[in-house]
Parts: sequence; C-alpha cells; structure tokens
Amino acid sequence: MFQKVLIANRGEIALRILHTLKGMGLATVVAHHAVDADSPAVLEADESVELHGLTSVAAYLDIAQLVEACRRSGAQALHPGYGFLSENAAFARALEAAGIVFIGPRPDSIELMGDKVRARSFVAQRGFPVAPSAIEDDDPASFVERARALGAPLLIKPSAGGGGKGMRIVRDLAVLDREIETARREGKRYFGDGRLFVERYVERPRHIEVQVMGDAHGQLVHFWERECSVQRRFQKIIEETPSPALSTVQRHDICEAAAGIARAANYRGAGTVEFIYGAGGEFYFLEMNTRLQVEHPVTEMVTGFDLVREQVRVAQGEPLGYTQADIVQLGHAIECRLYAEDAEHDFRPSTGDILCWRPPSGPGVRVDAGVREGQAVTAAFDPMIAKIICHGNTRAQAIERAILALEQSVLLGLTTNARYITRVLRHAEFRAGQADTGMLARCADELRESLTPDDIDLVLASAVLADRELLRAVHSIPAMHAAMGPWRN
Amino acid sequence: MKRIDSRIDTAFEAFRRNHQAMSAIVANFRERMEITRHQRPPHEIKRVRAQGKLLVRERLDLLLDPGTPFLEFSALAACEDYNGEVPGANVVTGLGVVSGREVLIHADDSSVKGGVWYTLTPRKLARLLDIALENQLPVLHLCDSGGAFLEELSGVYIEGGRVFRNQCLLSKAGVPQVAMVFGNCTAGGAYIPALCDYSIIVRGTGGVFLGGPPLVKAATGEEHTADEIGGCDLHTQVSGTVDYPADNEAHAIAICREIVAQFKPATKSYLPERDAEPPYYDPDEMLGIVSPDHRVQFDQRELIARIVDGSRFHEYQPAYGTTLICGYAYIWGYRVGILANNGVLFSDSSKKAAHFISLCNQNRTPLVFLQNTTGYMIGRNYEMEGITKDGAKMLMAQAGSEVPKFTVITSAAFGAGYYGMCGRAWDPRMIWAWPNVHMGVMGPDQAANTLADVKIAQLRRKGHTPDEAEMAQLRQRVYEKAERESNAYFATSRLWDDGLLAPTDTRNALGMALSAAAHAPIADPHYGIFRF
Amino acid sequence: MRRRYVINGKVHDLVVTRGANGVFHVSHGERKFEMQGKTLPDGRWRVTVDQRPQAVWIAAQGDSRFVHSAATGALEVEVIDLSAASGGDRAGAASDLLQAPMPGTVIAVHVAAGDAVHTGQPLIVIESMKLETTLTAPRDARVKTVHFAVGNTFALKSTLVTLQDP
Repeated sequence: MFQKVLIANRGEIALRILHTLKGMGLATVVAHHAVDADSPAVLEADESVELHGLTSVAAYLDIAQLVEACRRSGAQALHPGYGFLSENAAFARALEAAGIVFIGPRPDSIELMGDKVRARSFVAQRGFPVAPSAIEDDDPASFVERARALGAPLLIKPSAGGGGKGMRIVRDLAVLDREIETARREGKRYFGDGRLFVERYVERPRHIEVQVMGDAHGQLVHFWERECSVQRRFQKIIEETPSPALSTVQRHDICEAAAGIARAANYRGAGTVEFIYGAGGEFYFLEMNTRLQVEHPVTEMVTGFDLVREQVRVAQGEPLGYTQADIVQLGHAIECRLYAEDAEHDFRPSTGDILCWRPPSGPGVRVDAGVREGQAVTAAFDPMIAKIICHGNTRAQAIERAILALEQSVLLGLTTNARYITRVLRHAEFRAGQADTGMLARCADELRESLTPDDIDLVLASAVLADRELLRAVHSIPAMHAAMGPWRN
Repeated sequence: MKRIDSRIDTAFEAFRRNHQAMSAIVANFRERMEITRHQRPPHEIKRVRAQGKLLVRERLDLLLDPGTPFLEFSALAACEDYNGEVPGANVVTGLGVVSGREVLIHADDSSVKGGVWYTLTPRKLARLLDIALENQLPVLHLCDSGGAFLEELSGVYIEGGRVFRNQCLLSKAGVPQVAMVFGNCTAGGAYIPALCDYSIIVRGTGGVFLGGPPLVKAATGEEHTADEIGGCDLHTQVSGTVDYPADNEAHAIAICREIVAQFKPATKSYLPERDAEPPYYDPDEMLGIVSPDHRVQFDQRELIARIVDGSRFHEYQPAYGTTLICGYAYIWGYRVGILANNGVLFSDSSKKAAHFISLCNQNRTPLVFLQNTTGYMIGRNYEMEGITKDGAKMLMAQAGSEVPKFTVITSAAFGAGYYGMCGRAWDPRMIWAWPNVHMGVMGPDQAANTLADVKIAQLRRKGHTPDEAEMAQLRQRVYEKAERESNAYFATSRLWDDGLLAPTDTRNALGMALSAAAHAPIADPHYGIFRF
Repeated sequence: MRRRYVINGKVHDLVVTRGANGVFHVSHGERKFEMQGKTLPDGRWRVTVDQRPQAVWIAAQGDSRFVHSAATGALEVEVIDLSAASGGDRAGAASDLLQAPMPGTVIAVHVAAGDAVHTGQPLIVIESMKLETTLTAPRDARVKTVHFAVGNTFALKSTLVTLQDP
C-alpha cells in the first residue's frame, strides 16, 4: 500500500528501522537535525530531509515540519521510533489528516494509555489486576484520606507522568501530606499537570512487561514477556527474556492478562503492557506503552520475529497471519544498554568525541548502534549509545556471552557504563535471577569500580605509549647519560 | 686498538695491603661526603620546613631528569676552613641533565646558617661560572641565600664581583641562564636573577631586593615586609625584574624545566666516535694498584687500563721518554689523548709531552692528564741537557693548546711537574684529585726536613743547640703541618680543584666532562715561542 | 621524566626513564615496572608490562588518553602539565579578584552576586580600544560581588568581579 517510509527519529533506532524497511524493499527517508547529518541512518537512507529547530530536540518534536517533510519527500508512511513524538496522539492525527500512514496504534489508543489515570481505571474496570490505589480525580476532597487508608508503603505518581519521573515513595505516613504537596508541584513543573494518584507500593518489585501486536482485523497476540528490573533511577539498564522470576503458570497468566488488556482496547500495532510483580507472585498493571520499546530486540532474539517488520505489515493493512501457538521462545536473551555516563561519579552524563568504536561480535551477539567513529556525543540527546543483545541456549550462557561482548566492546573518547554493567552481570543477585528494581541502589557499594594495581599499571603504561610529549622528553636524554643512569660522585 | 696487558696479580701481598688501605681512604672520603651533603642540625631542617621550603637536594631531585647522572663539583669546599661549619661553602654546584640538556647548576643551601655567603662561596660560584664560560654550558641558579655573612664582608665583596662579571660574559657569549628564586636574593645576590635570561620566583617565600627590610628601615625609615619590597607580585607584575610567578617550589622547578626544554639545541664540536665499552679489567683493582704512600711508584698504564673503553690503548712513542706515557684511548666512546706520569719528568719525557700535546691539538683530540709526579729532574747533567728549557717547552705547549683538557691527580703532584701536567693554573676544563693525593711545591717530608733544617740553624744562631728529642719533636711538628697542608682535603677545601673523586668514579666523571666540554668550539692552536 | 596522570580522579605521579631496546622503566608511588609497546596490524597496541603482554586499544585527544583492555574496560587518563598547573595551595588567593587588564567600559555582565560559577565560565565582557574581552572564572567559585554595571567605565587594574569559595 505504501512504498516510501519516513523515519522520524535518530541514532540506533533510526538505523534499525531503516534496515528492516530496506529488507522489505521500501524506499527510505530519514528526517534529521543538522547535528545528525553524518549519522549512519542518514548516510544509509535513500533520502534525507533536514529539520530545523531552536534546539536539536525541538526539531524532532516539530509536528508541522515532519508532516511537511513527508509531503515533500513523497513518503506515504512514517515510523516514529520510540520517544520524541511516538506517543503523541496529536501527531498521529495530524499525519492521518494529511493522508500519511502513522506506523503505530490508533490515536485514541495513544490517548487512552497516555493518561495514566484513565488507563488504570480502564484496566481495573475490565477486571485486570491493578495495585490498590487512591485516585485524586475520583474525589479530590477525600484524596489524602483515601491515600492514607491504603497503608504504607505508598507510591505517589503524577497522572500525566511516565517513565518514572516525578514518582515519590512514602514509607512513613506522617510525611504523606508534605510528599503529596511536593509531588504536585513537580507534576505541574514537569508535565504541566498537578493531578496525582497514589498506589500501594510493592516492596522489592520486579518490572515485567509483555510485548503485544495487533492487526487491523481484530487479531492480537502477545510475544511473551520481558523482565526489566535492573534499573537505576527508573532508567532501564539490563533487560532479558524470559523472566527468571516467573513459573510457567505465572508467565501464562501475565501474558494473557496483557493480551486481554490490549484486546479490550482494540489495540492495533505494537505495544507493551508493563506490570509490577511482587515477591509473593502478585502482579499489577503499571502502564501501557503504545509504541515500540527500546528493549524489543530481546523478544526478537528468542522468538525469531522482526517486530518492526510486523509493525509495517500491520500498517500496510495485512493480517498477522500467525496465531499465539506460532510464537515460541527459544533460549534466553539479555540486552545491555550502553550509556554515555560515568558510573564512578554518580552516573553524570559524559560527553566527548568517539575516537574509537569497535562493537563486539560473535555467536549470539547483536549490536544495535547508531554511532560512528568521529561523532561527537553531546548532552543534547539521551545518553544511550548502543544496545548489546546476547542470546544463549540458557540464561547462564546468555550472561557469559553478554559479559564477553561487553569486555570486547571498545568505545574510546568518553566514559560509558560498560564496566558497570559487567559488574552487575557478575553480581550474585543478578546471576541468581533475583534482581528487583531496587537492586542497583541497594548494592551500590558492591558495584563500585575496583581496579587492581596491575590494572592501573597497564593503563599507565598504555598512556605513556600514547604520550608523545613524554616520549620525546625521555628520548631527549643523551645516550651516554641514559646509560650512566642516576650516578652520583 | 690493542688491549693493555695487565701485569697485576691481585693475590700479591702488596696489592692486598694497598687495596685495604686505599679502601679505607675511599670509605672515609665517602663518609665525609655523606656528612657534608646530608647531615644538618635538626633545628635547621625544622626551620626550612617551617618556611614551607624544600631542602637543596630535594630541589635538585625535582629539577634533574630522573635516571640521569649528576657530577657535583667541590662538594668538600670549605671542609678544612671555618671550623668545618660551612659544608660545601653553603652552595651545591655541579653538572647534570635537565630536560635532556646538559647544564650547570648552582644551588644555594639555606639549611646552614641561612645559606649566607662566606668568602669561599662566591669563589666556588665564580669557578662554576668559569666552567660555564669555557664550556659554553647553560647555568641554572637555585637562589635561596641569607646574603653575605656579616663577618666575612670584605672577602665576599671582592670575590662576589667576579660572579656577576662572569654572568654578564656568559650572556654576552649567548649562553642562557635561568634563576629560580626560592628565598632571598639580597644586595649583591639580587643581581643573580637580574642577570639571568629567565627568572622565576615563588610567591610568598621568594624575594629580590638590593636592600631588605632592616636596611631599608635604617636608610629611609620606611617599614615594609620583604614581600612588599621585592616579592613575587611586585617583580612579576609591576617591575618586570622577574619573569614567572610560581605558586610553590615544585611549580617553579616545573617552569624552569619547561624553559630549558625551549633552549636552542646544543651544537657539539665533537661526538663519541665509537660505542661505549666498559673497561675490560675491574676498576676496583685500582685501589690495589695505587699505594696510599705517594712515594711508592706504580705503573699508570694499569690505571689507564681500568678507566678507558675496553682497556684499549694506543701508546705513542712507547720506547722514548718512558717516564711519561702518551697515547690514544676511548672513554665512553670519546677519543682522548692521555698523558700519564710514570716517575720524574726528564728532558725526553718533557719533549714527548709537548709533541703529543701539539699532535692532539692538530687532530682535535681532548687531552686527559693523569698526574703522579714529583716534578722535573734536577742535577747538573740534566741542566746541561736542557731540562729547564724542555720543561718550559712543555708549559708553552700547555698554554697554546685549545682542545679541552682534563686533569686527574692520582697520587702525587709536586713541583713544576704539577704545572706541566696541566695543573689548576693551566685551564683544564675540569680538574680532580683522588682522596689519597698529596700535592705542593715539594713533598711533605722534603718540606719538613728543609724547614726543620732552617729552624735548627736559626736556633743555633741564637745560641741554642737542640738535642735529639727536641729535633725529633720539631721535625714531627713541621712534618704534621706540611702533611696536613699537602693533603687532598686541604686543597679541595680551598677550591684548588673541582672536587675529590673516588678512583672508581673517574671514568664517569671524565665521560660527563667530555660530553659537556664539546659544547664550546675548539679554536686552532697557537703557540708562543718554544725555546728549542 | 616526571609526568602526572589522573585516572578517575586519582593522581599518579610517574617517573619514566628509558632502558635498552625500547624498554621504559616506570615508577609511581611504591610501584615499579618495565614496559614496552608495539603497534599491531589491526590498530591495537601490544603493551608488555613486566613481561606480561596484553592487547590494548589506545586513543588520544587533547590532554586525554583513552585506554581499553579486556581486563580494565575503557578508562580515561588525563595528562596534567606540571608547569601550567597551579600548585593548588595558593591558587585561590591570587585569582579571586578579577582585575581589568586595561581601562575600558563594561558592555555585558553574565553573572550576579551569589551565582555559582565554574572554571572558564564567562563572567563579564569589557570593551577597550575597540577590542572586546570576555573575562572568565579562573576556578570553580561563587560570585561575591560584581563591582560594575553595563555602561560603567573603569580604570586599569580595577577589580571588576570578586569571587569567593564555592
């Protein structure tokens, strides 16, 4: 139905989408800001269109420009990737109005699931598990009382928020009022909306999500679950599938619940239903993301499906063509997110030029990266540089391959969290499959860098070899004096 | 080039006795050096630390290139003067490598009496600067002195002028100097950084002024701190007297190293011609070859064999004038012409020396003099042969020589033989003595006997005839004084040499000296009149 | 030669001398080792420390050296120039008063009293003899006072901005 697709994104996801589109024989256009002009996706695309904006991020969020870019390039469909405008219902509508296919869900699904309070109540009404909660909108006057009645521990969340921003954990009810006020202020500041809801907080929670895919003909399947519990300040670092926490029955229950929720919403396209899973086996609906997720490759590695390909097929109007029974998990996959941050200094973002980039390779290793040598990494965008996804027959083998791949990944010019991730992969809690979302904070001391004296010597020796000024000075000593050494009369 | 055939038997009784005695002399020498260099009263060290300063050798450690040699000059200057209270005359001077460049260093030692100048201090500095002029070597000054010692003002006054004059001539010759001001540069001392091409000052402790606070107050009634009169900010921001401010001593030294790294690369008038090769024979054996008694003869070829590369030596005129050995060898790859005494100088040996010196000047070979001489031969027959004329020819050859000359006194240096073999007055680029050495116009017993005879004659004239015991006592007293005034420490204390060397250090000292001396061009030789 | 390297905020003062056949001797603190290196065809270096060879990726940019080995992952080594670096102890006192290098007029003020500033941050822009100069913070500090406003003229060495500890 459409022959040319515009990719409205950048970095690794733009390149990854591009590769699938090319494989499907579709023409490709990448819309980009000038700062990404030499990025791999732009260079490989059939065409590119430059976007302008006050900031580079603003360029990627400019709906009007993107619609115009489609028109000018003749793209009949647009893939939004993740982040940016991928969950912006107004954008989806603007494209539809312009006659351009938005490769994603229907705008009303985006709206429904984008409002966390609405989504929650939609899910609860249809009998799916949600955490005991108090929603402010239900009755603002009694909100605080109802919240208090839930009992500690509690989690205060902004209605308009997402991605973990603006959330506050309350363990002592004495400070509940103060925390609610603070959360409200932050909600207003970050999301322009001070409405809140409060949920019972699950201790040692694990984050389990389910990939779903629905076509335009009423068929919807799930692609099993992913566990994303290894998080730092609500930012995912390691994701894997299958989840080591679930029994077969639990897996079945969660995945069916997710599929049920998506079906109830008449969902079309790719989506992910996220759950909080507690130590006692209970799970509660958290939110639904109406887009492709960053960690989708682990699902692809174990099921053999190309999710972007399925997205495009669905957008083309094709039926899925397969049933739930056709989606089988083989082996285990782990994804590690390589971030430009300094784990030794409170994970502050690092910047610099990529002087050397040698991604790992080998059996079961997949690297999704959108960077190239010579590229400058600035604080303008998200600090994710690449995803390293490893597959193994067993979880243990997947971990071994992931550790090896990380050790072999060479990125010089700025600090990354590669070594930090390796320490996490080696940590007993992770190896035992028992990591929860609080693990990284709890084990912070054990995860600290520790270089041996031999390590330091090697690094110093290497620095000496690359220190031209030092070598020149050392060689400037005349031969006889160097041979005499530190002689004194 | 043939290797010297050593005839030494290390099992031989005389060898073992010599070795034992000489080792003791060398051990004693090294101990005196250690004390002079490092032993300081604890309260002085505390004072230096309290001022936030480093000790002089700590500064040198930071300044010199790590893993390089340092040849210190006259470490034992003033060791027999001023009651031995002024180690090294309160300054350290020497030859080292900084930022890959061979340089001379003058470093004040303020850990003794605030580093004040005694008369021997500027004399030691002037000598360093003479070496700088003759060899065209850059000089780095580490300044930190209390100024002139008030009880030695007149001596310092006259000697000091030569220091500044030499600095100006160095600059005139295009040889760079850098000063690091760590402490005070007062009165005359203020000219040292002012006459340097580059100067650095440490904020807070460095001060440069013609008159310090007490003098200024006495002269004009003004009351200022040292920093206010001539501190870092005043001189680096307002007056322009000093070029670089430094936050601390390590910073100042780092700046100096950076400056030296910018110097024009050295152009050398000669280079090593071969790869260096250590001596074939063990240099330690030199301690068994030389006797502590300077009257005992030994063959200096055995010493040469333990100093030069591969112990190889090309002897010149091996059959003629055999009391003077002449020949070519290599030291650390540098080709040298060696003259070494094996006894008294005769007419033939004197003529041989003059000829060899002119040969080496013609082929631009630096000369090394290994002195062990009791002088020129005396006697009627020798006079008839013209010994005086021939000695004069040797001196004339010395004076006309333009190649770098280096002198090492290995045992004895008496009479005019000391002159002929390039003594102090004959401009060796550097001159050293071994700690067992005795030198003077005549040997101590000769001196003692002559002097005793004169004294006895005097007493007799006055009507007193001394008995055996009295005469023995008189001779003993005179001998002891003559002995003390002819030993190596006496000489080195007065800066008659550029330092004492342990015999086994001779090779490295000569290597460094040869490399350093090549910084100056070698002019064509030009001689006065030889009385033929 | 002496060299100061900083890895992860830790200072290492090295002494490097050369031995025979391309070997270097390195000592830092209590540790000593021998090293040599040669490039490999794929762009890596084979670095041998005390007879133990390892393949290492090395990249250089400005005053930083980046090193990657399987054992250590990627680490950055900062090279500190000892002749330029302030000793540290006296750095503050001398540079808390930003003085005018020439008489002129203030044309822009970027900070206010109480602002935290970092090294190199532009503080005030002055104009003199048709030349615009931006004065920057010599160290991480906090602005104590800005003595002149836009449009004011000042004399040589006037204190334009006073800084204090952050």
